[in-house]
Amino acid sequence: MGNAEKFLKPEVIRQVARLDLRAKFIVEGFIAGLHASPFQGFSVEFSEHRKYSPGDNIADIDWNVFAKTDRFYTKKFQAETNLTGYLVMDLSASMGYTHRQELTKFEYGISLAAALGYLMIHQQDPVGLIAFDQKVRRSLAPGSRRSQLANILSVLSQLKPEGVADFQASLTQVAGMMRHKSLVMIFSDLLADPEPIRKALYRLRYSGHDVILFHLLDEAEAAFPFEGMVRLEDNETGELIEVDADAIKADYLEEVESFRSAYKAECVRARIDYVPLHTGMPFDKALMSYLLSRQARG
Amino acid sequence: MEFSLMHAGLAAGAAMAAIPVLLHLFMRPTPKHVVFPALRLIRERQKRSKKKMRIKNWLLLAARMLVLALMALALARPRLHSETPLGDDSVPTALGLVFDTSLSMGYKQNDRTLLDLAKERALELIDRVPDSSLVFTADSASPASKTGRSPAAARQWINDLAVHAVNRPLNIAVGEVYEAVVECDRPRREVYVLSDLAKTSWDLGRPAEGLDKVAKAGETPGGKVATVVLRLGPPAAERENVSIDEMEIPSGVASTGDPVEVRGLVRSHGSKPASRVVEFYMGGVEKGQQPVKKGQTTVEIAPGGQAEVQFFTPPRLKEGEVHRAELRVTGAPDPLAFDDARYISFQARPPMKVLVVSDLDDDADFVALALDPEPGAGAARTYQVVRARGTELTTKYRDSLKDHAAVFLLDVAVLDDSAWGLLNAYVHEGGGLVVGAGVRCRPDNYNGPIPSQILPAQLDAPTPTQPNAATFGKVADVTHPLFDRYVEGYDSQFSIMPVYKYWKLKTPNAGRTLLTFADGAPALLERTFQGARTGRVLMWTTPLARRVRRSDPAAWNELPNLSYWVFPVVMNLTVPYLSGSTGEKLVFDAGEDAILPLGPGAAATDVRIVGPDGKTTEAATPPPAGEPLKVAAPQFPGHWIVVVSGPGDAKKTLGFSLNPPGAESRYAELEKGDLDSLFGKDGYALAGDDKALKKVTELIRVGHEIFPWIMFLILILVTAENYLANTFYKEPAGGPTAAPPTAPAQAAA
Repeated sequence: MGNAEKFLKPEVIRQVARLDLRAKFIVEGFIAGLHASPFQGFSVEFSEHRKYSPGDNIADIDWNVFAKTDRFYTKKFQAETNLTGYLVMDLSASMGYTHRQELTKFEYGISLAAALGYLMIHQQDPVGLIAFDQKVRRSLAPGSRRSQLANILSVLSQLKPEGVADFQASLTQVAGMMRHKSLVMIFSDLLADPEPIRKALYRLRYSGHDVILFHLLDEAEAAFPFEGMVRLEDNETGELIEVDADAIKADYLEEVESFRSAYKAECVRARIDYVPLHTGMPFDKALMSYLLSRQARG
Repeated sequence: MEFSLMHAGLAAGAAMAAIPVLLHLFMRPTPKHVVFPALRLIRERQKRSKKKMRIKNWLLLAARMLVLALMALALARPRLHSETPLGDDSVPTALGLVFDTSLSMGYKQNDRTLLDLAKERALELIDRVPDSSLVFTADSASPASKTGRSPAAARQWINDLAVHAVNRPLNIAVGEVYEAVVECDRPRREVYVLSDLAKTSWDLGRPAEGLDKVAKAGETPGGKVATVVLRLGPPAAERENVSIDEMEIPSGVASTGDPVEVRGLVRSHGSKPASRVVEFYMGGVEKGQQPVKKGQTTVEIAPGGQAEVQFFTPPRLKEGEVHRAELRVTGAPDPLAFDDARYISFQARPPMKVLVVSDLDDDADFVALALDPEPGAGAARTYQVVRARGTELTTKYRDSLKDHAAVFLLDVAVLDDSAWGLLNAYVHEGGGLVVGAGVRCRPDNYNGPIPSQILPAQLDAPTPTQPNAATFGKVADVTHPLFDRYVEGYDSQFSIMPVYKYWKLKTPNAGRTLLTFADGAPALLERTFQGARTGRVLMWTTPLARRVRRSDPAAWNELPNLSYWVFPVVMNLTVPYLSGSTGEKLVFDAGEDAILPLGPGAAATDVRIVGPDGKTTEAATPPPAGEPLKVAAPQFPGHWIVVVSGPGDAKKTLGFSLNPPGAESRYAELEKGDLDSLFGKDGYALAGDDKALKKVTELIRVGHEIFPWIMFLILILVTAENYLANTFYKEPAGGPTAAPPTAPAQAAA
């Protein structure tokens, strides 16, 4: 693993305090990884004509260049149109949870959002920011200037996950704020009633927006590492449950799987990209999801 | 089936089953407080699986408790048993041993008789009880003592056991031992029946005696009596045996002069064909005189088949002497020896003279033909029939009437007083008279003063001819020598034999009814006259003749009709009975009283009876003059000699033969249903060999140990507990859940 790629790991990136650096390191690590991967052609900032080599898609051959140079070159992968992106952050209190006292779901989410913002701005795509709990608390209109990134990072670093989220109301409000077809990237743990969330997601899709749903769970929420008798407290509602962790572990994991599967199935129906993540996972997965979505729109 | 623990104290360890519960209650850890936002997921799951979780927990708790309880139980060595569990061999025991000593126990297996095997098993059983035990023994031959023996005395008693030709049903012997064992105060009570389980050794019509006492004793604590039936010897299908089943003189009489035919029946009881040599021996009755071989023949017998052998005695046998004959099977080893020889004794004598008196030949023909048919070539005559008219009695037979074994008076109309007087004297001197009253008989003549002195009853009048013929009725005296052999056969024949007419009788003189008609009227009466020889008069109230045409006034019945076998049989039994030679039978079954006529003359002063071995001599009480000698229940098969001494130096040597009961040869094994009916369905344990006996004994004494089964159960429970625990609390495969690949990622791949 190269030096830059190590920043794709949450446990490494958490040691970087500044969010702008976090975003930079994540993206550079991601790009470095891409150069050594089959996804090289997805690079936008460094796109260029490349000499055709066996295995490349013939459809990508630039015949104009061939006519002029009598050599095969494949097309560059540069967005032909600008894509407006919105980073939508869930500010519910549950997002502030971390079991291992490393990155909270929220910190993981804003690191990821910062990296995506960094990436989009370097592609000259305008990007905005919306943070909500019961309603939209903070927002930044999309922009593609370099200063926009600073603004986004500044807002992100000021956000605190403290409330209780109302997805239906908030995302309806978000949909109303978008004037053009945009790419909406939602960062949430989705720990709320699924029905309003489902309706809110459909509302965004009906408005013509593309949606990537980054479903963030804490590593403990995904793996349930507890043993023996534990008293569990919901930090949003204050509810307590005493359980035998060993006894319910398998059931809980089944439930998590079912929880994710339900959202995945719902997203497939709504043609939403669903990206299940937990705070122990490297960031490249999320970034790759963005790039795939970006490519589909390009 | 009962349950016991060898170490009951250790079973208290089952209380350890409470440990998991106590651990659960007292060692319940203080739960760790954890903030967990995904509580919603747990709550959702709990809504669905709360009941399931509870069941799982209970299952695990129950499995763990059960494992501990079963371990404690296993340590206590539980046993299942159905009888009297008192542990090992050191418990004083009331040990009952019932031996089958019937002849079939003489069957040899590997050169040892089944009785030898029974003795060996019994001695092993005695070795397994302490010296403070009491042994109650019985065999099928002799009554048991109610007094228990010490093990040492019992060993001696068992060693002296031998097979016997005469045995009681084992039901009785078992009952004697049951009674003694039940009353014994030893804490453990066991009764072993050692038998080859031949059906002939048991009375299958009733259960073993004493079962009620055993059942009553079983109701009291520790009073149970365990019964073990040990089957000895091979099963019926594997037995091989060749026996002489019958030996007889077919003509029934050994006439002087001609050789006497002797026939025998040899039977194979096995599953293999047999080839044997049958030897014929003859000898006299003088003490020390050994039978001499007079002939032999080889027989080939199919499996389960039989072969007849025929021999002839030398001619000119001495009249009046007892002759002994014997058939022996040789030529191959035979596992069952007792039935390899058969014996008969007989006296040679001239044919008996019978005087048949009638007015018409038709009335005499049937009796004459039944007693003295046309003799075949070389066949001896049993009877010599002489026909006469009533008027000839006094003229031709006044002096010689006493030489006749019997006189038949068949439908004679009248006899004059001198003829009646002659007959009166004849029967009072021991003669036998048969009267067949028919249509010609004149009641006034038959009811006269002289006939009334000898006839059993006075004639009244013939019954009117009935359009529908009546029949004979039942035999009134089934023990009478005329009827005792084939009572059931007689009854079935008499019940269908038409009788058209018969004489009604006035008051009986001094006779008793032996046979009736279907309406209860007497058909045959008997009157006896005591004296030096017993005189007898038999009076048929219907003639001993028939007519072909039913319309013939003399056609009164169908008794002599060839369709029925009764007439010739009864006639042939009548003459010996009347002549007093019925008791001259010289061949008996073992255990049957031997009745030997000593003949006329002065009373015997001394009687000596010599057994078949020629050595054992017993003195018997001499009978009164004229009475036969009764040898009570002789037991040993073979030729017996009786030496009768009279006044002065008069000495007479008689003899008789004794044969073992033939049924013992035909081995039929008791089936389970038979044993069930003898001992009750759950009243016994059956052991087939010595290993099974040890197993059964151990089962009775210490029960069936279920330790291995409990350990096996524990093993299953531990496995189940582990499986449940692993299933309920299993880690997901590969540790913490890795997020599944997303749809876009899959698309990219």
